[in-house]
Amino acid sequence: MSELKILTKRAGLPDSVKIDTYLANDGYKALTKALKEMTPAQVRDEVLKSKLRGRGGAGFATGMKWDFASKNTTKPKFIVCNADEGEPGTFKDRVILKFDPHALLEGMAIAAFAVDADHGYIYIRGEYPEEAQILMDAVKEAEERGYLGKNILGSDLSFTITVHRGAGAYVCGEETALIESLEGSRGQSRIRPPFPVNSGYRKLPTVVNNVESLSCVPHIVLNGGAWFAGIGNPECPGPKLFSISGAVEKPGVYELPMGVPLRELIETAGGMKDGKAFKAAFPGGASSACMDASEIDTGLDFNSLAAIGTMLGSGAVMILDETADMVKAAYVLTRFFDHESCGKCTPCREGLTWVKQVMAGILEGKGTEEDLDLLLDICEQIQGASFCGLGDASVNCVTSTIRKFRGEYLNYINKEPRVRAASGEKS
Amino acid sequence: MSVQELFSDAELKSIQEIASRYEEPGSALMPLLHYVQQIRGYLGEDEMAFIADFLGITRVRAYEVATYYTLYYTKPRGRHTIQVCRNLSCTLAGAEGIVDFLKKELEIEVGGTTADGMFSLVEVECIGSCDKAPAIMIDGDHHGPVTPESLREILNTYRGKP
Repeated sequence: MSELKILTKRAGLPDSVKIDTYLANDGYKALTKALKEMTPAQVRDEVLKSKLRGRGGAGFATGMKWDFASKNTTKPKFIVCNADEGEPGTFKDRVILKFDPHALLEGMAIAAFAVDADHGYIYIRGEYPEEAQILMDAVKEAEERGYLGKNILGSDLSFTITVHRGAGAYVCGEETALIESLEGSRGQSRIRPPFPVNSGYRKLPTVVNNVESLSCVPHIVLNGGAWFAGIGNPECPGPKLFSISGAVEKPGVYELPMGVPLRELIETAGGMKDGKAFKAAFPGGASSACMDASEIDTGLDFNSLAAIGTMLGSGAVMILDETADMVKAAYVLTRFFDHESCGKCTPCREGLTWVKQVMAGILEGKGTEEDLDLLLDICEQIQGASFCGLGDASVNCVTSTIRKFRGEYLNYINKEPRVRAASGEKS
Repeated sequence: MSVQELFSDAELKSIQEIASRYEEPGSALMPLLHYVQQIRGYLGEDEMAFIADFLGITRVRAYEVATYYTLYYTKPRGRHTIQVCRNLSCTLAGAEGIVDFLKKELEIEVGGTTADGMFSLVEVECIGSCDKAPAIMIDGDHHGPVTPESLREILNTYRGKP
């Protein structure tokens, strides 16, 4: 399948971050069209028709979120861009932040028009200081040219954007934790409802959208929702930025239609590294259940992956080859979740520490077969018992590797009879 | 400690400018912590207390925020901080060997600072450079894929930097 050049069409141009480059390549045309030729309801309608679903991981329909937000007339109202991409394996928003910042700003301004918002915030992860500066420069340029600020292009819309840096907390990628962090607190998730569209930043109506989702919006406004809905899987369509890493020849970000089979994404990324055989993939970052070789022809989209018990997430595809140790891989991901649990909900905070310890025991050769049941039991108690989706998803790496690669766990467990040896009994 | 002893007039002006970007005082806390860390290298207790008082929030809130996030440091560290990613894509590409090499080369443990105060070494989770695994960050710069040989050169370029 050939690569698309929609979201990435400007990324390779010289001086792509500059507003003049952007304007010379269809930039701010969609905002102009929305403000001069459309009503907010018409903009929302096109986004609904496009079937755009949130590209940050949760996959909620963007048009529906905007509809909810538009119905709440409390002011002021906010657009918050989630640029905190912290899911391990994810680096796709970076392409937009670093090379096409105005696409994001334009998407946010259109969103503000569509839901009648007053101010925007871009919450960008602390590990991207260069990109934060690029965005701040772009906001300044857009304000100088009248695409942000008071009465944009002579319309009633007044809207500008503040760039806000995070400081290294995975949980802040979850929208309610992100809002807590934006308010200057520890990034811990809030219970929902109320949802941010009704009570978000400063308890006011807030639309939280991912970078890629917002960057799709100018294309939808210019070309129509039906055009967008015609790309890729008709159920959950659109162009998608995939970040692929691990055992492929050319790790990187590739723009392909939703629903591209995993096999084709790997081929696009130059094939398996050193010609090794494919063993497994985490298709949606650390939070997703792993896929094995029998599932390599599954389409990468929200529905097809949900149907085989995993998820698209943010489109962060991590590839493991025949030499990979799945127990070790699951341990590395568990260590990550244990480190990043915000500590609010007991099952996630305490449970992950236990899971990590049991996993470490297995790797050290101290495990028993009962430990696998114990692990599954703890995982079951963590899932569904946390405020946010991140806690729920944190143990998918463990449950899926036990289910699909049980033999690798047993290899560690059955290596030698050290439990009895350690207690002084003869084996 | 008085304000004059903590911050120069120019620094105070920057603090006021950053705070003025937000209607909600608390929202300025993280940007101000970033700023103080940028000019002082870490977040001292007096500085955190000043920022909290300045914003009209409790001092404990400033402290809990500073200790919650990975990228804030409440203790002095070396002139340059090396962050080695230990997440999956980097581990698959040999991140453990990178940590071992740096420990030996710099003669420090993870969490430590070299005797000359030049480098601090920490392990971190995904930094968003998975396409360049194994990847590291030094201060705000991403580097990768790194090897022991390339690291020696990279470290040398930082030795000459302020």
